[in-house]
Amino acid sequence: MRKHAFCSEKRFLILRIVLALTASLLLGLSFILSKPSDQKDDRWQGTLNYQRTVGRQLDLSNSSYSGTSRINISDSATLNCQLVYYRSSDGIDYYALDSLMAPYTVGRKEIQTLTPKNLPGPSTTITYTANCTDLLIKDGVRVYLSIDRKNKVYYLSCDIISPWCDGIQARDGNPISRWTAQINGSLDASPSGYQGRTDGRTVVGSLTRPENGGSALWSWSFSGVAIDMEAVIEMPKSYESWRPEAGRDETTRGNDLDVKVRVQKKGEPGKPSPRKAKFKFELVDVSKEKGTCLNWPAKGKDSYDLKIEPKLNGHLKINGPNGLVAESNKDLERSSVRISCFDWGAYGKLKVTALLDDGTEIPAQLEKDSLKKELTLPQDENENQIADWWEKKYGMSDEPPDSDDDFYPVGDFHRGDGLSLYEEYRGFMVKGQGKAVHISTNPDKKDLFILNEVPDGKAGIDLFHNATGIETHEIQKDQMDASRVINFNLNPQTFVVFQHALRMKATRCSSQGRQWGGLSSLGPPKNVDMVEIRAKYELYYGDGKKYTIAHELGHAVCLDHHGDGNYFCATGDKNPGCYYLRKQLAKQDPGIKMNDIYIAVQQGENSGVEDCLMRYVWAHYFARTENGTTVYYSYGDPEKFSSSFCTESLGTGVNARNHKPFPKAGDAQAGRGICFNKLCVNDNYH
Amino acid sequence: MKGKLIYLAFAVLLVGLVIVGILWKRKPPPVSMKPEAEKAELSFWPEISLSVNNSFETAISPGSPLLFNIVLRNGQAIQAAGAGQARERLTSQLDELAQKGEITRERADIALLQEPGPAVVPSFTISLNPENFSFEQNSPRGRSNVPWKLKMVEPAKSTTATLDDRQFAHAIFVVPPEETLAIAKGAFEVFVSFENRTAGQWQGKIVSDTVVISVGEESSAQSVDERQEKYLILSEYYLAIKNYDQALRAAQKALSVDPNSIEGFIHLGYAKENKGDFRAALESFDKAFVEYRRSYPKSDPPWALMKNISRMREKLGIKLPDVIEEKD
Repeated sequence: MRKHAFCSEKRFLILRIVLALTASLLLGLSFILSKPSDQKDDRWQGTLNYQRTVGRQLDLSNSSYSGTSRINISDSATLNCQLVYYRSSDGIDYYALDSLMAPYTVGRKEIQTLTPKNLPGPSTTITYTANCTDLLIKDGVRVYLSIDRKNKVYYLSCDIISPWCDGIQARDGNPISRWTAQINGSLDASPSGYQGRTDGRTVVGSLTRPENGGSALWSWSFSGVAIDMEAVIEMPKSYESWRPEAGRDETTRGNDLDVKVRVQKKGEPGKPSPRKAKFKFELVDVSKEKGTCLNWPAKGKDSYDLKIEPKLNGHLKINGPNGLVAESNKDLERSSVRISCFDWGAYGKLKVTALLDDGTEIPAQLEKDSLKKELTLPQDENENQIADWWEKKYGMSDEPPDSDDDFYPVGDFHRGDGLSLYEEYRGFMVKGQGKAVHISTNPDKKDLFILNEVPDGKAGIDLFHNATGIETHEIQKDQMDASRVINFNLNPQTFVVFQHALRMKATRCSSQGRQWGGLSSLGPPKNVDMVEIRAKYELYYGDGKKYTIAHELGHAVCLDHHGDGNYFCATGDKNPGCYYLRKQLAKQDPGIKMNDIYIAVQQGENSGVEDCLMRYVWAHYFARTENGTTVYYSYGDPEKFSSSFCTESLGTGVNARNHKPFPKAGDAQAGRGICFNKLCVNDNYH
Repeated sequence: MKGKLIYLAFAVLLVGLVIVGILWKRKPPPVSMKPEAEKAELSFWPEISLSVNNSFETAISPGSPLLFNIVLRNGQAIQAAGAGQARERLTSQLDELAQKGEITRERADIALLQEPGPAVVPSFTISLNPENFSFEQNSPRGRSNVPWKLKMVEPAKSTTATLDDRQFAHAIFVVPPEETLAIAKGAFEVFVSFENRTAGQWQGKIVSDTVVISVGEESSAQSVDERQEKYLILSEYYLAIKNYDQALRAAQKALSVDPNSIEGFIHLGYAKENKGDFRAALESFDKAFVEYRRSYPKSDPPWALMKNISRMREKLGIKLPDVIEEKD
């Protein structure tokens, strides 16, 4: 009984009403949500009593376009189909009318004239094939479909923008194949009411015949479908401050960059695309620098510096062995690619193409600049392979990558430090606290790399840095090659000179006579085999070592002593001063040794500006000529070690002309002194 | 009634799913261009450096001592002290370049931005106690303590040191020769940690770079320099622990390998000086000096050696005249 009651007609009716309402609600919602009002598009409809643009930006190389327009045909109507092409100087005003085309070179080619009488049948095809060079098309082609009705010409036009034809090449450098504009005319013999249908390529519609005339349907298409969607490359997070980084070697990823892309309704960001697409990611113009930076690792290989790795891109199919091309596996509205980086100076471009299931290819444009179809990696407006933010930081945005323009310290007025702008940006591995670290160097400041093998030698290097303003970088043994070259992983395009590091070593004083000890010659670094600090014997010598190091490093960057001529009074020396000294000392102790007595001469090593690291600060005596004879005065205590390099040649302090009772060693020798203005670290000179 | 509710629930669920699905699909893409803010943290710490037997890479044979030389500095204070001078100099050079038209004023201003200028870096007070130092080695199994006992010989007793832009601290630890006899052959990658927890002083832990110590048998194909190295290190060790008799013997052995050994004479001089034989010390330092001048005629004078000689003269009461005139 209960079952019977449940199935009674009344209750069943209620249930059906509820279900029907729900279904209606569902259908209504789906309709509203899937067909928003802003998608309604009537571009292809309307009578041709005014000129209207029916086309949008097209790309005939890899896309297509179609549409239908209804026209009224009277007995006197004439159909003209014309292809009008133009090239513009700026390529922007695609919608210019003939009368406004003054800046352009305009050409016009009549393809075919159609009248109701000569219409070859219910449909016809008018084809014109244009070649970029034939038509001298630089920036675009405009196709007009025009109707001459009672001597009044109306136009139906569409713009077809070729892929930036320029001679035989497109702007992106790819050759342009021939492209085709095809116009299909069709006459509907028996139109009856509005009908709309589409086969995916051609939209066909019809209108009710007007009371006083015939009705015809004119449909046309350009070999494909309209691109009512566009692909957009979203600007990656922190793109403006991103730079490539390498891992510990060439096969280890450093950092990566996540790039997202989407398809959307054309010109309407955020609006969903009418169709989904597969995405093809291509890395082009990718650098193949040796190693990961200028000095690491040795014998660097030149593999690609940017890659799409399967490990980070499981959703993509990687094509080819180099990891430069990848494709999404299915049709999507959005996708992304994670680009791995293997070099500190890596650069390249990312191209993304949305692939539709009918073979149409839509090149993705940058979100911030729709004219750009490639994302430079890193951001690099001037395409000099250097991240823009880094150049901007140093005010170097207008400099070419092979420039070497460091100006500080001015030194001997040679600009540069032997390292190009790109090399300074790509950078070097140097010794860090407990491990190797990467640095990019300051392109305004001259750099000097030092392999420091002197215990506690850093104090001397710091002193040298503070005194000169030269940026010093300590490196490890494996961060320079056997010839001490620091930029051995060079790129000939951005190379200035083989720049050398200095090797600074603590050695024992050997009686085996290693004549290359100390410095074989003055700098720049290419000339200095080794800065030898014979400090091992100086037990408990303490902080004096740092001044020795700064002094020797001064020699290595082209600084000389303030003069020459100081000498030792060796036993048996015939020098008068030594003779008389020996004679006087013998009175005190006949057996005393005095080989070490050191005499400072005028304009010798002790001369010039007192406060200079290149000056000797001590001797036993300084010699003066008085009334034709030489007098030797006790030098006294050593002067205080200096912490700077001089900018004068005239003697100061103990060497000043007014020093009492008299200057010890006087002015620097001619051409000597002025050390700060003689610094040179650049192996391109001297 | 139950069936009705099921139908109703199903319908509502369906509607909900459709709405959620469509809305989810229509969610606008996230767009973020704002770079993350950089956090600048300022902190200061001393620097520690280690060398063993005066080198960052040393090779010894069993029975040779090890001298661990440690220097603690206030590197940031040193840099900061020079930074003011550097910025001043840079400013004047940039002005000059800009006036001459060598660079634009804009570029000069950008360059100046890169020069930090002086910073206020505090000085550090630390305790040089043996307990504050620990010596470890890196091995495939991780870090572990070094397999030998070290003794601090410098400073001789615990002390306090201040580190600023001028003052630094120095410590020497040694491993006696008899201890290294037991060391297994191989390479050791060692480093020193300094940890100070004394109240009222700088507190923290710093670690040095590594030094490689290779222990192996002596080769018969060693050069003169290499053969005398063992004895020179030995004499340095004995000088460090103030055993001057042994230091003298070790220096003499170095001289027996190379009779002209500059450092053999120097070590001999130090040993004799500390034994109070200043004349013999002067003789030794003088021989070292003569040999040095013969070996390196074009080099800068060996200032430290010359000071040793002067010191010996003073101790012997020999005074150089203040003025020497070219007359009898």
